[in-house]
Amino acid sequence: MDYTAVWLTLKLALVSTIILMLIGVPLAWWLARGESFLRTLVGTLVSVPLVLPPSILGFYLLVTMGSDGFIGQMTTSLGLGSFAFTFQGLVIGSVIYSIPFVVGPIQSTFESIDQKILQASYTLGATPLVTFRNIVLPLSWHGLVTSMILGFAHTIGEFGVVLMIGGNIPGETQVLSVLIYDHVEALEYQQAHMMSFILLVFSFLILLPMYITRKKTKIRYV
Amino acid sequence: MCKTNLHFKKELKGLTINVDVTVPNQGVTVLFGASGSGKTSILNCIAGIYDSHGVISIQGEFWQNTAEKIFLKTHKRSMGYVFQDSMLFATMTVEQNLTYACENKSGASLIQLQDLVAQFNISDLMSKKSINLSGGEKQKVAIIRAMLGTPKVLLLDEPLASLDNKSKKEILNILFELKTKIKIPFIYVTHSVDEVLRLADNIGFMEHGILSKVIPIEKAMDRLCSFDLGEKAIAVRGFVKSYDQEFYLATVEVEGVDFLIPGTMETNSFINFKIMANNISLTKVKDTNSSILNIFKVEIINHEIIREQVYIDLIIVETQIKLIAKITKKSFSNLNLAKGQQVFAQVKAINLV
Repeated sequence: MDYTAVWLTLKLALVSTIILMLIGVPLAWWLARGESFLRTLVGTLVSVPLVLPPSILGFYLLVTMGSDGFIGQMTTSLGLGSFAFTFQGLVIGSVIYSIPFVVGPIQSTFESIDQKILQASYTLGATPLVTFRNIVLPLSWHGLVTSMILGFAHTIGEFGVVLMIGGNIPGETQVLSVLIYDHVEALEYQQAHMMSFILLVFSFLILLPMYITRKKTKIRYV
Repeated sequence: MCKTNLHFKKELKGLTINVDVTVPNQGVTVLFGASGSGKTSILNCIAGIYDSHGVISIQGEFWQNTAEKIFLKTHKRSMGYVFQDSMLFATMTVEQNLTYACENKSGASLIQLQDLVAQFNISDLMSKKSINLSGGEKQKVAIIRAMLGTPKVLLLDEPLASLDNKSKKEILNILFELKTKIKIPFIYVTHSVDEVLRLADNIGFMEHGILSKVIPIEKAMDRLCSFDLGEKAIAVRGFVKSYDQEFYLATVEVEGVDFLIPGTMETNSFINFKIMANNISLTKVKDTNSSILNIFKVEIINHEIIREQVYIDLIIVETQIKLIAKITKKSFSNLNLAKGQQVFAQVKAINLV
């Protein structure tokens, strides 16, 4: 059993989830707070990875992040080098690939919060930021946890994007899903079985608490 | 002292709000009108929840002046706002709801939190989650929450509309006591005549989004009586001259006529009350051996028969105070009553709400 790939996969999922939450929460809040053409545009763009084959997304990222690509030239000129076939590149790809799974649940949680409860807070002199921290977040924790779990699980499960941008460098970009593919290609079914089973159980266990708590929490107002 | 000026317009779907009034700086100003007439929208404009066009100045402080591009955001307007459905924070206890208000509102409280808690009798509820409260309890907490800090105006949007009668009465009584203690304007939205009678010092009638006049309540009594009071009745505003603690009885003066009304009342204050037609009986001779305290010499102005009952319009002699009596056809014929006659009206009961 190769623990390098397991560790790398967990690290990728963790880093991606943290970045996803940092981007996703404010983005979801902005998307949930009204309607405008720009919001529609951004909302659609965020959802594109839902329908786009991961290999296409990976391909475009590879092209743009490569040393000749638009992003690649920018990162190179900043002294960061090209992100293609690096862990950083994987993170960027994962974040883009999983963003709809994070923004979606948070956005619908935010949308389900009655405007009036926010207005009530404002009439008590609370600023929008204080209101967000003290009223919105406690009402949205289930949506936030759901997003975190989905973002994490989805990153662990990705294959196409990772293979395209990251390639298959052990310890650097070779995550579990890619390793399983390798084993299958080499007809090492026993190793493939073991790792697949671990991922299967892991996926089930990580989703279970989400569904257990789902029925109990509904956003309530009094 | 600077008054509270409201001169603004707001376009809503299918309704244009047009407000042009000055509201007195003390007492309760009721916005009265049918549902959909735009009452709540006016409160939302004052609160800055809606962005309207024009001037909103509260006790001389400009919250909004479109011409000078002044627009304070809701959280910068010192106010209390009581919503119809209390809008307490469900994730917090009662105490946390109140502390949240104390922490965010600026200035020392006009009335201390513990005094309000005592007055509203909710000290037992402090540690309960607000979701576990009854409707009446929730609304009490919501009212306290709104009154904390130093609000310059208190906005109340049909705060009693969804409550049972007992809670309604209890909260009305507390609000009545508080309106003289807290010297800020209360703007109270309702379509209940009873609430108007109990609380109002001034009233603005709303129709199709237009509010053009706020008048003292005594000038609106006739118009109010044309609304449904449950039974024909007259409404009167009087001044509490004195209060007899031994007999639990207040003397309330209206146009030089004294009414004796049971109940605790603050002297030197104004109250509104109503007299139902079925609480008035008529006699030709003044009965001095009666348990009835309020007996007035009246003149018969008119009568009409509705559903086999006779309603008689009366006026207390040498005043402008009108009364309505409801008697049976038999009594009407036995007493041989006619227009212009002077008789005695015995008032059996006077209702504060």
